[in-house]
Amino acid sequence: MSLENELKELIIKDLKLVDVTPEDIKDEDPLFGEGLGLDSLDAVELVVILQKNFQIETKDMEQSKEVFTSIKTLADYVRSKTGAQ
Amino acid sequence: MFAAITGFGCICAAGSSIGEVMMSLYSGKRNPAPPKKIAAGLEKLPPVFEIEDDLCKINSPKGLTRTNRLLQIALEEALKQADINREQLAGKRVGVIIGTTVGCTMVQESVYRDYKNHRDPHKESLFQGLYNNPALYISKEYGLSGPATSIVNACSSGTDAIGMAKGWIDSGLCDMVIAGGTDELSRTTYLGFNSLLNTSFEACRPFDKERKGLNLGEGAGVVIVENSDLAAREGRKRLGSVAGYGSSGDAYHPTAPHPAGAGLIRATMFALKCAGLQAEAVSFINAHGTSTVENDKVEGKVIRQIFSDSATVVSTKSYTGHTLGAAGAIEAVLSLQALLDGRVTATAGYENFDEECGIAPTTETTKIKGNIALSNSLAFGGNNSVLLLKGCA
Amino acid sequence: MTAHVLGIGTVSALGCGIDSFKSGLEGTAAPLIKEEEIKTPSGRIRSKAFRTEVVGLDRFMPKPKLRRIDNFLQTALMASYLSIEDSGLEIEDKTRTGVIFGSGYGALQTSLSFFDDLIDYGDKCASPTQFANSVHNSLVSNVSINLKLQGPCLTVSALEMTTASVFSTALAWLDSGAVDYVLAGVGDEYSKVNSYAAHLMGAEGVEAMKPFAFDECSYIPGEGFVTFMLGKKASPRQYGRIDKVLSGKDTSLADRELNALFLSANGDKETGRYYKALELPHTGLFSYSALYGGMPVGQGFDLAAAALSLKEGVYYRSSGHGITASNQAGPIKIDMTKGRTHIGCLQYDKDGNCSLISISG
Repeated sequence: MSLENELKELIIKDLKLVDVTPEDIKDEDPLFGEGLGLDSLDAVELVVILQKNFQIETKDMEQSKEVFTSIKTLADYVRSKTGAQ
Repeated sequence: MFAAITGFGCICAAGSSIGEVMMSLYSGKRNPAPPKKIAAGLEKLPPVFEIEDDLCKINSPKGLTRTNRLLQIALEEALKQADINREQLAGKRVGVIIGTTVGCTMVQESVYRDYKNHRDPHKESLFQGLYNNPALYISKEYGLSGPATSIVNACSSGTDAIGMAKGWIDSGLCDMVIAGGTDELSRTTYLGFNSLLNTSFEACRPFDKERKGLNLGEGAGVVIVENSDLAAREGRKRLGSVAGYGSSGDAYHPTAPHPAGAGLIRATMFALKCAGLQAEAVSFINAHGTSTVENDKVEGKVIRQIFSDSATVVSTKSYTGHTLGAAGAIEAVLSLQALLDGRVTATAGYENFDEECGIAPTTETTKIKGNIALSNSLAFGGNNSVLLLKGCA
Repeated sequence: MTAHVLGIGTVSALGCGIDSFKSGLEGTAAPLIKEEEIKTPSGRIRSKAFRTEVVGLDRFMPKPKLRRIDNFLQTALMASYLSIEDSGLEIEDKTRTGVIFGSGYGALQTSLSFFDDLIDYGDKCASPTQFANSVHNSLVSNVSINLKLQGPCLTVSALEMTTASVFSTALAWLDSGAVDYVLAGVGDEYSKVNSYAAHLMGAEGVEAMKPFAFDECSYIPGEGFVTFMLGKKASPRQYGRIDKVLSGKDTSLADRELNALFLSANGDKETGRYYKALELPHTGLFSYSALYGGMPVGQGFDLAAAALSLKEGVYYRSSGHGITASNQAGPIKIDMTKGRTHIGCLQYDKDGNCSLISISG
């Protein structure tokens, strides 16, 4: 499975999104606000998802804003931190 | 008849009595540091305002939780100030209302770890968790006959407790109410706030442009609220009164405040109406001022909207840390003392004006006019509580 | 200070809604009791518990909104929607409706799940959502968010004195004129730790609750949520009027006005001794804990039963085993022509504090 799909599945499962499948989420779609409709509480939960599954520690929300833009930016970030493909 | 205040006391990282705490405040002394009594598996530990163990001395029964011990220290100080002994308490209808978060944790983490790892926890350790309700503890320990309840309204609990005490006195339910709040530092709140990414790795800076988040603290505050006629009859000196209280929900988000502070505005207006006062009558505001980006922005906006630009605002959390369920009670006690002293202290850590907050808190000890203090509390889930206290000059 | 009960919402082992609760009282429906294996110092045992299942919440809330709503929150939300629906009220000014809830134990399951993450994944993996949901007042905040209620919001906790604390505050709010209505509710959540605790209390191999066997431990943990829509003014659909809420040590039972007493005795020996010591002049003595299970806020469900009794004009038969001749009455028709009927709901805690809520109709 691609890292992008893995992230989609993790987000759906851990943020308990209802009636959303990985296919519904486009890699470039915004995760917050308009797009998937995530909010500030999801943002901090996303930090835990990265910690739990990729051992990536996020300390500053301000710096993470760009990283959390879309599945694509998130996957790029995970790759840069872990060397995953 | 009204809800008179005849005694108060507090303990927090700034000191173990109101005198000690005020000395720290006036001298600008504060020392947040990584926690010593709780362990956390984090690479970098956010600092906390922790109470030194030697401050926490009291003869207390074995197995008493730290939360209840802190509460009892503050209560003893308040009773001493009001000059009431245990026998006098027993002869009255005395109620207890205590705000807390940790104090009502029914299953402690250590007990659950044992349970989960099949190291059968003992009855005593399990039931200590079940029966450490602070209000019920005080009621039992002091042999009180009135109603007792703990308020678990997250960060506004201490304020709500004192506001409710006014209700219990006004309605004639009690002659006297022991009202306050208490919380010890715990792994649950420490790791919980850390997970919300709103704790700062530096000392907190309420309303400052560069603020990075809150520091947790621990402590307790207690106010003796009683029927003013009874206090006069028994010759107890009135130090102040609970003049008004307002509470309102944002109905907005589980952890974020309403962006325009709708609930806080309603709560403030209601507290003023309840006290029969205009905004101009308020001498100073002890803000919730946690130093998180969102809280200070919303709270600052509301203060500016309701009160004039030149309103005197202080955040005493800059000396005590955010003591959660105790915060509102400790802040009420510090506000009362400020009214008696006729001055408020500087807000530690504040340097740079933030347009988004729109207010500048005190930067030095400031003389106040009048005798009305307003104390704000904003809690998780969008609950806003506002207390108006009157001091007796 | 008084308040009229305008609507009730129950979520209990008997199902969701006041009608299912009534069926239980009438004896035509049985509570959901589940058995599971728990590890205790004396080995693995099978343990029973009264459990709730929330069905139909999507009738009130779109599914996507339910995503962060854990089980306990679901029971509170469901009960809240049901009580407003039951009242038939159209609330005009939502800033003048307060919400006050109480719980003896709080959101136990969520608190334990929060610990599970710390234990299984380490301190860095504390879940912010679970932390927020584990805070006692998350129920009230989520109810106020979803029902858009913007009056005062408060959560209290005082073990067996919780229900009294909720209602005395609700009455004070109404009396102060701060609100037109109050949504007042109490609830508790089951977790395996409750069964473990019940075992340590001496509830070993309990098959059925015997509320009137005060010397015997027959405690079976339960869970559920019950909410009441309260108002200053009476309405045609209402259940009765809450006249008095007393708690503490000095609540006098010598209230001769009471026609019947509903005891929250629940098979716990430590509180049982206080019910046993009561000198009860009353002819009507009832208990329904064997329908909803043992929990600190049992009194809330008894208040729902009392409200139903007044509405339907009948005392339902006590539930549970070991009911003796003196308390087997029911169903008995209440003679409502002889003026008001007063029912007292009474609960004790382990220190002998007493909570008395009286309702009349």
